[in-house]
Amino acid sequence: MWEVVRRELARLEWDVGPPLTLDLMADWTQTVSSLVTIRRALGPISTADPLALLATATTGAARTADVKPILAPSLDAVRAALADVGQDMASRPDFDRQRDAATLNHVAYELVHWVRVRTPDDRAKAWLLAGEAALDGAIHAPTSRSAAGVGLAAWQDALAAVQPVQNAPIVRRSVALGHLAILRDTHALVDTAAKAGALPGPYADELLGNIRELARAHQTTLSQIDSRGLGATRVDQAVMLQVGTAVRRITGRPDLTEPSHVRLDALLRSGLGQAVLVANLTGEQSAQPAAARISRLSLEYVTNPRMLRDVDLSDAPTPPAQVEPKAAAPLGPRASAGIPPMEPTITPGTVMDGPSILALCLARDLGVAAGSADPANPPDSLRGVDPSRWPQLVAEGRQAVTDLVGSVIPMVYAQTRRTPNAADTRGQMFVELMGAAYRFDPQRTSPEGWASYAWMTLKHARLRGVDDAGVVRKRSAVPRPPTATLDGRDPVSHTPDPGEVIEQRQAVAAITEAVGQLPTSLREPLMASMQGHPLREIAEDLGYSESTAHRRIKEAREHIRDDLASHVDDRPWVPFDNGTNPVLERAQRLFECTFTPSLGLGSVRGFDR
Amino acid sequence: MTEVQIPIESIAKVDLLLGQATMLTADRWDDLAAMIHEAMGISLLMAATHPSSRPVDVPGLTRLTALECVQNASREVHTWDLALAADLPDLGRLRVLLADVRRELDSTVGRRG
Repeated sequence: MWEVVRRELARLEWDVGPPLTLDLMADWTQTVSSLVTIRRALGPISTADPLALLATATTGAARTADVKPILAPSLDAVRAALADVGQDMASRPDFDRQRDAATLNHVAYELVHWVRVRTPDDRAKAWLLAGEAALDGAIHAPTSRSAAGVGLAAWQDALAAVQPVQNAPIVRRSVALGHLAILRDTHALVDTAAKAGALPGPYADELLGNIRELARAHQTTLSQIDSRGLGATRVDQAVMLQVGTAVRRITGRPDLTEPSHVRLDALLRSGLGQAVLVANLTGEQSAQPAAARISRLSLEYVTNPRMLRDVDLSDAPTPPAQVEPKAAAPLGPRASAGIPPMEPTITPGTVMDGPSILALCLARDLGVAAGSADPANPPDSLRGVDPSRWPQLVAEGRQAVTDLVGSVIPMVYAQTRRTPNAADTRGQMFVELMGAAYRFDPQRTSPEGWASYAWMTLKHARLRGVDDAGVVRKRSAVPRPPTATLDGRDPVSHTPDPGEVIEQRQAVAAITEAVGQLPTSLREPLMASMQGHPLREIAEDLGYSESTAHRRIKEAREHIRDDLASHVDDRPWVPFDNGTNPVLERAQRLFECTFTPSLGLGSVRGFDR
Repeated sequence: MTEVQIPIESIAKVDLLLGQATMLTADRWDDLAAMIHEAMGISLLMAATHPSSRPVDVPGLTRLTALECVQNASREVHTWDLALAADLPDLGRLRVLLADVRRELDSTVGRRG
């Protein structure tokens, strides 16, 4: 499938008389569009996906002001080959998504590098380097999606959006202020990492020195901006809103479930929030050298991410030695990389053996106990465990529940396939499944009974009518739904296709995140309900009336349903296609201004517009 | 039902004050700076969401200390109707942050003499 692309890439490199284009950037934006189309065919694309970052970076490069069109070999043939790949994928549903995604990243990496070295403008080049670094990192040291990474992707997107209005003082001010927050966050994390021995001392020292220098440069930028009348500056409101949202996101309280080293990893991979691009946008000369050094240090990290040792930099300690809930569980590679408990660490649908399920249940129970115990009077299960370790146990417990859910999650899809409002129903089913994961008692049946228990829970939930935002409908009012079948397959042996796997991972992550984002007043009763406590007990424990507890649980479910519905697309970034036309228009305009018909460009090979 | 007026110019003033406070504390790397940044992020988004169409000025802004910036911002925020919480979802967080930052800066200044 990729053979033609390979041939065209080789031709691009070796052809001595290639067809030419008069505007490489316009050519490249179209090529990125083709790459993104293929990536979309491979599965949902998040804002922090390297291809999404490449698209943003390309938009930024194309929007760089006063860049002259670049005469270069045309990418037409590569683009045609990529279109063929896209068509092949559409006609062959059995392609290997993981392999093709990896191949796509390699092709994109090679192409963006090729374009970057042919781009003479330093500012456009810096943008392309940002996209190249994102792909470089994804290829050589893949990492999972992190909250910090998503925030930094939004920041890069905002930087691309401000390009056309970068000279407006209010824009320069906002960019400098936002970047100061990124620098402070990085400074704190690098400092802690160096002290903990998780980052080489000389590297950390150099990074800290440059961060401080760049912060001083931003201080200079800000001090030179006359604040009078800033509010009345006529700047595209949508652009400022995008910057404001990104700044709010990166200055907000960090996700406490995300280990510090994961945040630092995301910051380093992003070139510390694209320091060079920020320096270009603020226009402060003294910012350039420090930003360039930070960029170099960041690339150094991308090529050798092992320099950041995989230890949690926060005070959260390691779990006690006697509790090793994951020892028996079939863990994926991400589990050992200290990934926050936002996604299952097992492949959804994994059939786990009894000891693995038992280990997860033990971890779950320990986490629940640690979450509610009094350090002065710990329960038996926590006796002898230092209370400072309890937060880690809570996190481990949540991860165990997530893994339990992940192991049976194909059932949700089996139950909701071909049903109206499937997305809503699934959201409710995930909640039910999490509740079941908290309630399941391996001593009552056997650990292997988890799959049956989960299946029955979902089946009962469906019969109760939980698909209506948690409101139980009367059985007599609605005809009994037909029994869902798995087409003769055992529920846990159903192997989801890779697309489903991605969807399932995202679904579990979304539900976990949605629960985590609930206010305490809603989260506590919901969690208690999910853990199987009766309403009366919940009301007593939390000091509510039963009706209040009931209302809050219902409200929490509605929040989660809405939250999940709002994440269905999970793409706050502007579709790349939308950003292409203005670029092409600009290219066309520049072409018409720069080259007159008398030059006889019609004879240039490959110029096809 | 009476609609609550968004204090657009007041939001712009708070944005200016917290931007100045951020600039003045750009050489600080502690938790206090993190809180100032968070407050700045909130006010920046508020100002972007509700932009002022008229010039807004804080007299003597460049002569203010970080503590004065935060104090003035806090005073300004305390004049806002609490019913605005529906329109400004981070209002509560901003009030809490400003109170904490003010207390912290105040004690730092006091300790320094």
